[in-house]
Amino acid sequence: METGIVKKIVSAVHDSPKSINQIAEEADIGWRTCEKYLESLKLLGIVEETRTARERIFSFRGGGGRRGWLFPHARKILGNKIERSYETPSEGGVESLE
Amino acid sequence: MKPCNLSIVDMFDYVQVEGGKGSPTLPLLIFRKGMKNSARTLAIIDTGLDEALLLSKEIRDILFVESGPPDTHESLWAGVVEIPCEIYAVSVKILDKWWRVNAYAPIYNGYENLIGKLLLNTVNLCLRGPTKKTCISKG
Repeated sequence: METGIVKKIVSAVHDSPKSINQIAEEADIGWRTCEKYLESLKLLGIVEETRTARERIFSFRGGGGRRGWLFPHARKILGNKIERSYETPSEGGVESLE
Repeated sequence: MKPCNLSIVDMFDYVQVEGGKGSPTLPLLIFRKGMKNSARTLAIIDTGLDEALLLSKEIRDILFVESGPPDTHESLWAGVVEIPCEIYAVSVKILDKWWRVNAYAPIYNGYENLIGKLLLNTVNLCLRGPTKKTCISKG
């Protein structure tokens, strides 16, 4: 599986359950690709499927307990700029967190 | 109801992220040995990230160009998804204090700067979602 596509799909279903059509549209991928990824993510326990009479709905189940985080944040801050500063840490003025 | 005795020393507005939702962020200074200047940027508060800091590609490129290749490599895991990362030993200024941490830079594009639990546990945060304010209180 390609991580970029997984990120988009997980982001799409994270907030609310969605149909394959909605997920494919939000992730900007084809319906077949989307279905294939969703089937794999379902087997891995990341998403779960609910079937209605008309469509298949997928929702986020959350991540596991391994080192890392619940899901990779795929959304960028709008207008986040990097500015340069002359402020740098002084010798001995830094405390270690590791 | 218990009274809140937090004494607020700083306050930041939530910022818009892709998708139109307001998110709590904090301003950071990031510095690595070899750089002449530090880099000032915003990072999203992410209590789901166990580590101290995740770097965007833009910040990673500054570190790489100005201070050399990563110190090591290690993967993070999001559920069962592996995110291979470069690791840079950096100094990060959050509010008025510098911390030495390992920063994870995913080798794939598209990630935003994230402040994880290791750094968040150094400050007293009050997230006021309804008013879209992140408050910092005295320790």
